[in-house]
Amino acid sequence: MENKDADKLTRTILANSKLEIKNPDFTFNLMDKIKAENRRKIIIRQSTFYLLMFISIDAVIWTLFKLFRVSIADISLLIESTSSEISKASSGKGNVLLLTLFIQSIILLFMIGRARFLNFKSQ
Amino acid sequence: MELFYLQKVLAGDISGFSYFIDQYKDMAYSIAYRIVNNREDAEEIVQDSFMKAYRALHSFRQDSKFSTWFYRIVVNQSLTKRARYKTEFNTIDLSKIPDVAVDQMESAYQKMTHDDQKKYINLVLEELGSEDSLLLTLFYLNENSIEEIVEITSITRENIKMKLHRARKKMYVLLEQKLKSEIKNLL
Repeated sequence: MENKDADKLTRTILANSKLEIKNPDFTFNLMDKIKAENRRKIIIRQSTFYLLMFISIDAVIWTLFKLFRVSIADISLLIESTSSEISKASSGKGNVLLLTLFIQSIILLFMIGRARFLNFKSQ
Repeated sequence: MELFYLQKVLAGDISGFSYFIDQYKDMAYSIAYRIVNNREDAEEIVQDSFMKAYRALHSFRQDSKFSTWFYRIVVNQSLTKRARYKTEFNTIDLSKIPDVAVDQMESAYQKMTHDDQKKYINLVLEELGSEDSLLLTLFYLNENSIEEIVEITSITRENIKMKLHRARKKMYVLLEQKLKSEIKNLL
């Protein structure tokens, strides 16, 4: 069998073997998945950014208090809100920090929840 | 054109990725199907491969064609999927089979209608085994060069040449068997 002829014939025969995806919504569905994944990535990036920001703020507050020898227990008594009840309830140093950490945790939980929801949607 | 869309996606405009999906989904599907032999699995593999390609797009160095890089992902995904099922294929001892005359084959094949041709060739490729049908698809249908096939499949250049020759011969044998039985059925 001559190689050239065989190549030509094989090409002719295999030209009919191309398969196609029958699903007309394939591209649309896939792009939807990719968009969801992209949104999830953005939210995770934002959450990480906020987390780092929160940690930095906490560290700065803590350092300032230490530096100026401010009594954290005194400051916490001045706060008049529902959340101040939490700081009042907990005794000793770091009440203000506890309060900020509490608020930050709620924000973070909300963001993780969003990311998880989008992750679920993209699967 | 491809570079334009690639840069668009890398710059954050993900809508540009639909160009790659439209351009390569059918060939990727053909490749995946040749390996797993199942339509649903092949479609799933194509979807997963596009997701994987999108995630890894920033690591695509552009020293090869996008299609070559992408088809390699498809082949790897398909092999992973197939490993779970371990499908077995027909093996043909080529030494016991005489050479098939190209002229006879060509005339018999061209007498068939387009739909029959499509039906028979896909049946033959399914029986041929995943590696052989994949190599034939890449070389003869998608017109990839031997170098590109090396990159896609990780098989050495010499092996590809040898396997292509054998695969082609096997394909003729199986096709001839199919055509003979069809003629017998008609008579």
